[in-house]
Amino acid sequence: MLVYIVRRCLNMIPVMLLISAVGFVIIQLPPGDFLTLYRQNLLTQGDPAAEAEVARLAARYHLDAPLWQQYLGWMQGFLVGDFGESFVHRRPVRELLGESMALTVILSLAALLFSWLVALPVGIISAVLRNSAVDRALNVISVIGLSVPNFLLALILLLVSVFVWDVSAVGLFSPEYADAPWSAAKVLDLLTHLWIPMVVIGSSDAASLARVMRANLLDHLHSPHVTVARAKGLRHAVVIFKHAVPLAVNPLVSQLGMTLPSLISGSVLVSIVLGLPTAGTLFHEATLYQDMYLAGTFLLFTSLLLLVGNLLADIVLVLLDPRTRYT
Amino acid sequence: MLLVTAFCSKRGWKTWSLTLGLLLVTAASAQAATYQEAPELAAKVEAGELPPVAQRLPDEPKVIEPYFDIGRYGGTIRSWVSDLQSNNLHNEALREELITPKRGLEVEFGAWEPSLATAWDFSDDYRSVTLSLRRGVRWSDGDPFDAEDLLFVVNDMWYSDAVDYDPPPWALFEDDARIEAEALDAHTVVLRFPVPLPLFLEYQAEYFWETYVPSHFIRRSHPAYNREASQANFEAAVDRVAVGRPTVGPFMVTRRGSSDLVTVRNPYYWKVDTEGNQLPYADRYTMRLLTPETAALQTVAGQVDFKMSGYAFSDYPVVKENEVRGDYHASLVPSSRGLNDVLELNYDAPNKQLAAMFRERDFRRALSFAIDRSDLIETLYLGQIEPKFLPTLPDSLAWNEQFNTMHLAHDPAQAGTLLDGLGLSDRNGDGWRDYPNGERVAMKIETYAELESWGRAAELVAGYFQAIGLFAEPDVRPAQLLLQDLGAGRLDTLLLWSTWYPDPFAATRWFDPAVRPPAFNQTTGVYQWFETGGTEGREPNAVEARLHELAVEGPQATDPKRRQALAQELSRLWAESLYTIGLTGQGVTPLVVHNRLGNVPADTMAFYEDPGQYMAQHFWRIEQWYLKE
Repeated sequence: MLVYIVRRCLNMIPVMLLISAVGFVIIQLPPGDFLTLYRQNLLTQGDPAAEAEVARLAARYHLDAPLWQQYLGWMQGFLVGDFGESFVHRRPVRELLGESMALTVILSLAALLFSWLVALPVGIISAVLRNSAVDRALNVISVIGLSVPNFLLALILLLVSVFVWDVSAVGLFSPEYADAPWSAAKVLDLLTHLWIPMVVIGSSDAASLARVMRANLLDHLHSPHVTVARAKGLRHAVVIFKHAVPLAVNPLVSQLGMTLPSLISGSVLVSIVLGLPTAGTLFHEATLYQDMYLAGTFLLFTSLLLLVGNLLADIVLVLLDPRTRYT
Repeated sequence: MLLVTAFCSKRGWKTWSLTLGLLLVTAASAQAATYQEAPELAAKVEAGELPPVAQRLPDEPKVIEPYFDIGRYGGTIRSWVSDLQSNNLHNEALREELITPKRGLEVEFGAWEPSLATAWDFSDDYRSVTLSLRRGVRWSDGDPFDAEDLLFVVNDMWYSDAVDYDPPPWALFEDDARIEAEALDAHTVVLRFPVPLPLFLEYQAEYFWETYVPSHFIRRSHPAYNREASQANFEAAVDRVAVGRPTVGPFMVTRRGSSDLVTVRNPYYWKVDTEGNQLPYADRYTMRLLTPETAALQTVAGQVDFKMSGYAFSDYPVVKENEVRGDYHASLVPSSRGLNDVLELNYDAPNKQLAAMFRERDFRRALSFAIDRSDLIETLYLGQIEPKFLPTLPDSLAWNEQFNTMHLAHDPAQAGTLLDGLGLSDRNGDGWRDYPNGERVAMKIETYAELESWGRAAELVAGYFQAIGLFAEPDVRPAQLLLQDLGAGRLDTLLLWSTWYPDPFAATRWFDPAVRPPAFNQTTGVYQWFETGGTEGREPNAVEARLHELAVEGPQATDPKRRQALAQELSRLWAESLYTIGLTGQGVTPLVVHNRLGNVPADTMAFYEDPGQYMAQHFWRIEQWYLKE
């Protein structure tokens, strides 16, 4: 087992290198670079200092050096934990991402939790009460959750919260609590703001998970070992939750590894709309401005999450289902 | 003898005792001039963390008369921004000038009042100015504000070889001539200019560049004073919106996150109200990063105390409708944009025939006739703008009713006639006009996709041109794509905004083709000709040459009447030649003020948000705003 884990970890390194190189190139692909954008932005704002500012930035960030040189310079920094500097924010990438990563991960985990807490019961109920009115109703709701875009759902919920409940859920905290020390009231305030992004980001995942759960469980409900369990006279609930569900959950767990990164990137638009200081908003801005080091580091970080997530999912799978062998 | 007689006579006694009494009283009151401070600061004084308020304030603090009431201390003023990287952030709550434009409920343009500088004295030829600085002002970390803070900018920043820092455009002269700065004493500075600078007051009022800095702070990161400091350290120290940088403004930055900017009261702020309360009243001023739509929702929910401009015009009706729900007041106020929408033609467009056509005055007249301004204004701004051709502001030296209202007529028939006269007719029967050689006349109306309503304006304008037979297409692109072509001078046209300052010569870049040519074509054409001294590019025609001459002569004209005459000539030249085509008029912008925010004269003032010169906060006097609850 340990050997397996170590080997998987070592395999991650070449994959990450490849991702970093490809990502670096792709971010640079749109014509022009950060400097042209920055300069013209300044000019259209009427700022007369544009030219000089741009020349300075070019010198500072070596933006006139060839691409491979910039890439190597960036990679070298990784060895000492220096991920480069953001052109837009003029601060080290490490600081920027560090500030926002905590919230991003919390949000994504909360969304993940929500999606599972909703999907499993819904999927199980749908499967057990197959083709009933309840099943059909849940089916409709799932499809709506799947098809409505996240940011639209966020806007709608925001509108509803403002116009119906007289509460604004924009941002992480209400302005009164933003800088206040932590207290019970502040935690409550945080929760009242977190529920919309949690629901919105989790909902589309929840919908698809529920459908998959339903399908899997249906398969297993008629499998031989479940029939045996029923024949033994076990209670209905025990049959379902102890014998059928653990096996049905198997494919869901295996895709769990990929869920976290997809939740993070799926949260970008929602974060922008809701004014949340997550890494997603930083990343979006970075790609627009070709802020290479920030965008590249973020990409690498989510790739790392993906790889680690997959590894963890595989381990959990082994624990869950003894039939799995690690190759 | 006289004294004794005065003393002894009855009447003398009375006069004497009266005078003596008055003297004693004045002496006593001068000694006992007390100031009050915010409770949170008083607590710090108690704890020994700050000196008492009388020591923090200068010898003669600037007295601000609140617009309505004496305020109360405390609270957080909440605002929002859509771009945390913008230079305008500095303008909001941090900036102070040496000499401030005189602003109050009655707007008095052209008048100035002391601020950080208590007196200014120009020489007759405007080639030097002597500034007296307010004594006893301190930076937010307690360090004294003095002449060194001005000299440092000139000697160690603008003209220093140790750092790469450019002087403002008005401090750049031919033959590398320089402004000289000399300190006569700790609070008196003399600036000497190589050419007359009658507009020095206007220049020092702009927020784009600084005329004073916290020299004690920057010196630590200046390579000439600290061997270990680099250019990067220097730039970080110079950044005006950085946490920890000393300021003399009412608020100082304590957090600059990725989604908000938080500023808190400056304990050393040098202004008091008429009752001796140290300003500002509010504890904090915060700006949150929001998209315009979310900001509109925030506003409706009552979470925004103050915001001027920034809202999408299409969101204004929603914001206005919900005034009661959100407990705020929303209105439309004139903005600082002389022309909210203007079409600039690239006189050196890639297509040579098109460029030649653009340079024909009759073609430009035809384009202007084709535009239905009332339809445009009704569609984009719900009819809230008064059509105007020139980018002048109402109080401008260049304001001229006649020139402003030229070319506003909507006359497609006349446009057609003009185009026919230029030899542009439909030669192949496809419904579009062609050049004499048979090629179709085609042009793109180009602008930014995500900014305001210019995208829609471009579509409408293209439609108007199509109606007179020109194959015009809107080309509305996101910034990254547009800016590539913009920088290379490849745009046909550009639809954007424009403005001339009240004294247009305070910012010649808005009309000087040698600085900022139409459609930003700084790669080919007239700009190149000026840049290279005539070796490359296109030689300017009479209009362009005269514009450049005005841009050089105007700022140095010391006689205000002469400047007015030149400004009027600028207007005439611009209007008669249709150098750019005005589409709408002076912009209007939404303003939101929460009812809990006091001393904000939202309704009673005629004003406009400034483009950098007459800083908006000095209309508002943000330091005297207070939270009512």
